[in-house]
Amino acid sequence: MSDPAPTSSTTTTGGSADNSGGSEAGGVPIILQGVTKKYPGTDAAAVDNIDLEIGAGEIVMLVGPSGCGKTTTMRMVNRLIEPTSGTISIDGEDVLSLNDVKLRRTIGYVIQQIGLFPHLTIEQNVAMVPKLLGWDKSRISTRVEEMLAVVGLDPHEFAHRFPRQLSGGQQQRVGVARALAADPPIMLMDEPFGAVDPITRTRLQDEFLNLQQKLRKTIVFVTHDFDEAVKMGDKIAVLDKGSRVAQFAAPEEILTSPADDFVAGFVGQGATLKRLQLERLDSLDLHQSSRSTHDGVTPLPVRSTLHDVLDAMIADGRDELPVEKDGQLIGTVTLEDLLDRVRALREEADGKLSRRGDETGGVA
Amino acid sequence: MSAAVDLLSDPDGRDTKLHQAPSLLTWRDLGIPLLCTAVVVGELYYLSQVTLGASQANILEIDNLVLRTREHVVMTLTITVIVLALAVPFGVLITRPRFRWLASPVLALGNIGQAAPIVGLLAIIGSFVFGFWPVVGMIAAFSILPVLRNTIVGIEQVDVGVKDAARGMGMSPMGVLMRVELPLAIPIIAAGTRTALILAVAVIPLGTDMNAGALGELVFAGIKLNRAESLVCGALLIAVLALLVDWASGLAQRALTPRGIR
Repeated sequence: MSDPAPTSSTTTTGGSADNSGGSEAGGVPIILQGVTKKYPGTDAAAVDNIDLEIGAGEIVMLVGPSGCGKTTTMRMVNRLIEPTSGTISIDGEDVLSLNDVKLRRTIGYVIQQIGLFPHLTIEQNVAMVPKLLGWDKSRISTRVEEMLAVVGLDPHEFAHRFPRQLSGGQQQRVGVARALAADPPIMLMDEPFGAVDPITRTRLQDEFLNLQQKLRKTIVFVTHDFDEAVKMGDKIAVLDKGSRVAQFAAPEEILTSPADDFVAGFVGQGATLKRLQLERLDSLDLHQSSRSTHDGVTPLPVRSTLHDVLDAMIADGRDELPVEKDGQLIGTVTLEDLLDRVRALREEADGKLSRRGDETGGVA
Repeated sequence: MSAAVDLLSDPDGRDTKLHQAPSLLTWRDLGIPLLCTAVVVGELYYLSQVTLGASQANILEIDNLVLRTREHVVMTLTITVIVLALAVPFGVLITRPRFRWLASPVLALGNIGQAAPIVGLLAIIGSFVFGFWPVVGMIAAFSILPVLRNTIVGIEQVDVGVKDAARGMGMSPMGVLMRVELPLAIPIIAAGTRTALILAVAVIPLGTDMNAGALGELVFAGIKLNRAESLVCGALLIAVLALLVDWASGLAQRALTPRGIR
């Protein structure tokens, strides 16, 4: 995140699949080629000839207006919906040639409705896929405990409860644990945090990102919330009707240089502010100031986003704020620094845009 | 009293309650059996006190009462088995994607069948055949609908998200049915079965005219002889049986319902 160049930040993420930690399996690439879904009796295809390359260990956000085909696209990856034509490969293997039921056991699946089995305990819910895969009992129960702990639920407290005894946020934690239980290299997530309150949603998002840092799964994440896409995605595919890929790029790039009016419209107002959410204080050179005029001002943690910094400046009515790291003051940041940063980002984007203009001009 | 103790031992009362399995039998559940016992005992006592005419004495003999009651119970159980064996598999079949289009016509047809008066049907059938099986078959055919309808509704009402998650994690269609759809449909299927059972208990006496025996014998004898004792005794025993069947099937429904959705 500290790297300001949008393209390089994605390549680092994409390439880091190999440094997956522990025994967990990292992600594998997914490639969609000319994938089309046409329902009988309709003229327009729900998904029209989409090409998408999803790198190992990436979170790719499919974002677009309702009915654009983003969920359909996602559901074709685990063949809950069969493509009419085109090919989908996971780790080089053509999924259409595999047994669909067995295929799904190797792909984590999290949905907005959560879909926990209400008649089964939390433990039995999480154990379901390992059980389908025929793991032995002791391995399953160790794994269930491990997974509940991973998603922040105390196994002793929750394992024997039933879903209805949990809050919505807790239920979706179980949903994530259940999807991860058999350690699938790929996760499909359809608006997983869409049904919980904003505070819980933010917390679940943050925790999931932390988890993903360790797991490095390949994740296809569907959302209609562009802010969520910006926050969660290594890359965002902005989809228009029929799953037309309007732009497929890192969040930074989409915010600074939307490919067309549709993307710009989807990014919406406040793109610059959203862009600031992707930049953290540690990407700036801080001023070393010996002044002790910051008494009574709470210093900002160095992990704060520039958006938070701006917010604090406006709230405090100051154009300079102290910054701390592990409780130590390490310098100050000024409003001028923020403006400079925004200017730099814009120039960078303009440079890229003109380069792109040259390319397209050359093709034409 | 025990509830109060639980609340004291764990300050978080709601949690305690949720952690424990709701007990299957409570004091309240004993009301119906007690009432029924009281009615039967009262009736037997009354019969022992009155002087019955020769015509009624045979009918109201204790051996005959037991025999007729047993016949009634056997017919009820037979009907239940037939209904469950036919309605549940058929209902499941109709909810499968390939046959789903059948659901509406089948239910419509069933509703038409249900609207036909069973007394009339028994009368028509009764003019051709007699005995146990025709009556059982007739009533079973009539009782299938509530179970069939509830099986279909019970399976279709299973949350779409739950079914989607089940499929998405790699359950086979049969796995989804056995592990998810049927367990979650049980309360509704059981409710339909309960309706069908009560219906059967209540309609079986009408089959008496077809020589199927059962408690209807007492009622019809009372009518023919113009004797209130026999008629009332028969009616009371049928009512008691209906209440007990309702009570027992209510308990069974509760016991069969998975804990998590109870």
